Amino acid sequence: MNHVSLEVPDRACIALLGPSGSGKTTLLRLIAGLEKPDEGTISMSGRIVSSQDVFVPPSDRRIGIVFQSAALWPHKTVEGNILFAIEALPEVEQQQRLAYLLNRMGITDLRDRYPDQISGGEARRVALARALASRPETLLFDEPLTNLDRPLRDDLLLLISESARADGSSMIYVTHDEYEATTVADTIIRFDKGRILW
Amino acid sequence: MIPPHLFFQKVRANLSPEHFLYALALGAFFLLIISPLIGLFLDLLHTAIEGSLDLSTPLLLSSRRSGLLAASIGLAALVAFTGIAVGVLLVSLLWRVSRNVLLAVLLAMLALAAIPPYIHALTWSSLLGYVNGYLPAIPVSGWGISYWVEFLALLPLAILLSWVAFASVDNHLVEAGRVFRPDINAFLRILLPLSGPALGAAFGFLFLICCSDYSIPSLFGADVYALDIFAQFSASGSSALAFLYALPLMVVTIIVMVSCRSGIRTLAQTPDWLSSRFGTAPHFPRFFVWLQVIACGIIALQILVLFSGLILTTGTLSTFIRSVTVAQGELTYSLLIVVGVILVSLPLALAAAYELKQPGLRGTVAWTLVLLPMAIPASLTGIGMIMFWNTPGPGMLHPGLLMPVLVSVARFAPFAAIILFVQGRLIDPILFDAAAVFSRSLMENWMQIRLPLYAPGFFVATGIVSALTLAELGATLVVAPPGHGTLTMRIYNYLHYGAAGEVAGLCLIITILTLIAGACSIAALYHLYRGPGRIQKTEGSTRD
Repeated sequence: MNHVSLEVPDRACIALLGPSGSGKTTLLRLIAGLEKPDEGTISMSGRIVSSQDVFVPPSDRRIGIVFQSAALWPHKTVEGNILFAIEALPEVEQQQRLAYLLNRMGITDLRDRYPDQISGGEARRVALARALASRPETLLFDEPLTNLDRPLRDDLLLLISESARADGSSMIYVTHDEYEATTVADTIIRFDKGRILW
Repeated sequence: MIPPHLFFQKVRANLSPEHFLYALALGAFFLLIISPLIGLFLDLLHTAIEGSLDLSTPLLLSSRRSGLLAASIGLAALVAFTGIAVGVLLVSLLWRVSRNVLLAVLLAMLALAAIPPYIHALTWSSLLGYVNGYLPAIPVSGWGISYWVEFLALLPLAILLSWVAFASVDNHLVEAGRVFRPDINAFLRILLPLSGPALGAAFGFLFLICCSDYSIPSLFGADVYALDIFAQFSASGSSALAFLYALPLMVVTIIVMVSCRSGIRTLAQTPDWLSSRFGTAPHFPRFFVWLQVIACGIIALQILVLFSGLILTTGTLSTFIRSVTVAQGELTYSLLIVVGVILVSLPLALAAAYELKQPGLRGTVAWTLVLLPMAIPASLTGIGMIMFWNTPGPGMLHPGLLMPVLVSVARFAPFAAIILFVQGRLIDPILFDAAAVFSRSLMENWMQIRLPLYAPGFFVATGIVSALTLAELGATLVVAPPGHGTLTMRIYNYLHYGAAGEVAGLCLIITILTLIAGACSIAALYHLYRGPGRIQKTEGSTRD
């Protein structure tokens, strides 16, 4: 990755669009704190989170993330997966937030099921609920709709777009699919060979 | 019901030279590894029919035997548990290191894991003998020191197995946890539970090894059940009595092995043992960092005592040369056994590795049979081999060089099979399909495609099986013919009679040979992760 300079305004939804191997996911991981940059600075809400001297752990960056593979913990139920992200909240607040998210994602009846007992589309809804649970300042999506059929993708795109806006989060959506990028984002940034093209 | 002509057509189709050789190798593999058990059962049956011995007595656990059994199980469980606990702490440090450093650390552990346990006993008893002069309160024998040395001897293996257990967990699941909660939560509540089955298998594996090893406890004056089995056989000369005597321990080891079977499969099926790394260092709380520091101190102490102890006890170069010259016969005999074991084990293990890949009942049976020999105490394997191969009849073999070879094949060929199974999983199957289409003959297919692709697995198996065979004591002691002895047997005798100077030179030789075997494994593993035949990552797992 070379000379990447990117600013995401508050509440903006941007899509990083580029072919496989272009470095989109690496940029997302750098923002999440799952990789450390060799040089350069990453700031979030005016606070430096990654630089040569400063490194803020991922859990302190106030982010939510949805991975390409949903990455639901197989030993926890749907409810357990979502609650893990908001354990720091008081019990009553946790339950309220959980009920709200389950209802919003349409997965209330799945709350006691384990990840291997739900479909791929349902798993993405749970992953989205988990990402939204802690009301993050920034939501990161790493090709979250890969391998889903078109109607399901449309449903989830709408849900992602609405949810991010309702919570007032900024959103960075990584994809190689132009349709997804145009549907979900206000701004599209083309990315290739570790550089921003336009 | 298949019509007879179709059945014979099917049989004819399966009678290609390749199928024939495969069936032959597979039959020989399972016969060799199961023959000790068959021998023991047949002898028990014969003795029971004959009615010459009271077979009910050994089944009744006296208070001395039940105490011994409980102490042996307790020792093995404690060694395995603390080994895994320290292993987990140490591998949690390896999350951030570069791939090359990680590979170097894991391979160093592989080489250390292959050093025979009695060598640790020698270095620690030398150190304790020295320290005891100043601090007489420190015990130099008994259960406490037996535990400590056994724990240190198995620690490198515990570290390796803990790493493989962690590597069996999808990185994304842990990273998802790191985004939402502090790293210690992701570690304790995501990584540990998800690697639980594999860690459980690692525990079971260490438990089995510890249960069947008597070399360390016996050298420190702690009587364990595995040694008592050997003593029972020596005193009575009856394998049936020894078998019945061993049954309580075998029941425990078989239960452990069966409950760990799925975890062992998980360990062996981990696709890429070097994949479990994270881009950023985890931030752990202070208490956890202190635990990691203590774990580092323990492994550093282990390495320091091992090498400094060996070098200091060996003394001058002339002492070293003299002790090696005196044991030249044993050294040659040991190396011949190693060569024999490799030549017999590897081709047979390749057939078994293919069988381990089979789905359903066939694979389950293969896994059970491959793991079963690991649950049998070493001395009992030796006794069973004598009963099977020396019984008058078609299978009769005269004692000689062949019996120590066969007994090591019976004990260690399963390890080779599992290693080749893992190597087989790292090779993209499409390469074999392509070879089947393009090669002009079976020989060309094997020589130019299959064997080169399996070569790293062969090298690793050669290194590990060589090291294990060099260190083998319990079974070889039973089957070695009069007038012949291995280097390990000579060292063990020396250790019992306290000739520390001579034994240190021989231990140094064993360590050097083991490290050479380890170096071969390192070269092969380097090839494995850098060379051809590496399985390609799937589309979904690539990083854009």
